Amino acid sequence: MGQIVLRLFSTSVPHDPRLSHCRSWLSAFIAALAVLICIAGCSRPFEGEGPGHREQALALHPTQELAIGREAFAELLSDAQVMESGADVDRVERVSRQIARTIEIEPLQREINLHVTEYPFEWEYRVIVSRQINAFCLPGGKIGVYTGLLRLVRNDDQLAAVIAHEVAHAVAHHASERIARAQSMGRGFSELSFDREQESEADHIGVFLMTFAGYDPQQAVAFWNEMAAVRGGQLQIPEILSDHPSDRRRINQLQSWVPMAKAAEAAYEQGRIVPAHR
Amino acid sequence: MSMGSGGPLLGSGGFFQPRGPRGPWAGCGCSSFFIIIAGILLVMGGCLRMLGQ
Repeated sequence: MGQIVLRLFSTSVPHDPRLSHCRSWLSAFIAALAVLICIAGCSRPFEGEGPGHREQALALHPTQELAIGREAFAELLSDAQVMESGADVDRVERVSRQIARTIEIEPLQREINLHVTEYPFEWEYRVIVSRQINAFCLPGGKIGVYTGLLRLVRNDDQLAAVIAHEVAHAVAHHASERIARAQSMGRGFSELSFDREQESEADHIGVFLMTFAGYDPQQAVAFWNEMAAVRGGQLQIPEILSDHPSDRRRINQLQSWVPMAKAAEAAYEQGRIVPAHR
Repeated sequence: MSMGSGGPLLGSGGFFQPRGPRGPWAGCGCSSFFIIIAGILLVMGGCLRMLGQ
């Protein structure tokens, strides 16, 4: 069960040899999550438009998302070795805050069609001492970065790429969407991990977030190129069987979105913005 | 899409296009699978027809 939760709320490097198994301390969180999902299950998913104006059904109301995030974060941290201070903590806080600030840019919200104003976000940032190459952003804005990832990224731009991807899952309400899908299709918890469309969407939104936060989006491409090289000698799950896009597809997509994100940021800087109320 | 002097305006959705210049998001691959199967069936059908004549 713990593996399912980590897959639900985190991404990053699924086949890396240093990615260790999930911890048993997640089991208590599962119980809380199950209760909240059951509560959510009593109500029908509400339909609307998600990022890019695609159809999106959500299972959780804003307060439920925040409740899940708070509960999960407390549970995750209760048994984890959390780094209290130091250069790594400062670095993660600095980069995460920069990314989180972009969520408040109203024209960017409209550009992507993000629904965040009605959602309470309580941003928190923690560094977890672990060899796992991983990061997560729980609903409600609870960010965790593992030291294994910090040792791997070459610069703040690459760290921003990973954090922006995770934040994108949260602001696009992907967890709520997966629960809604599981409810409508009668599937179990095993189907709750982010799917490939959501992963691609998080990549897409993430490139915009990191660009607007002042980081170089080209470093997202560089990071995943390096990850592909790390995994080069390993057997990869065929894309058709995997939740994640293949490395090549992911890199190609990111590469195609970089100029658009840069152009969008330039438009913002130049004041070329659609008026909010017309 | 709202256009300014230098391209689309931010907030119009002109920059964030899920179906980007290099194609749509990753699909499930089912359509490719069915196209391949259809091709194989066509070839097999043709061969059987030739043998039957």
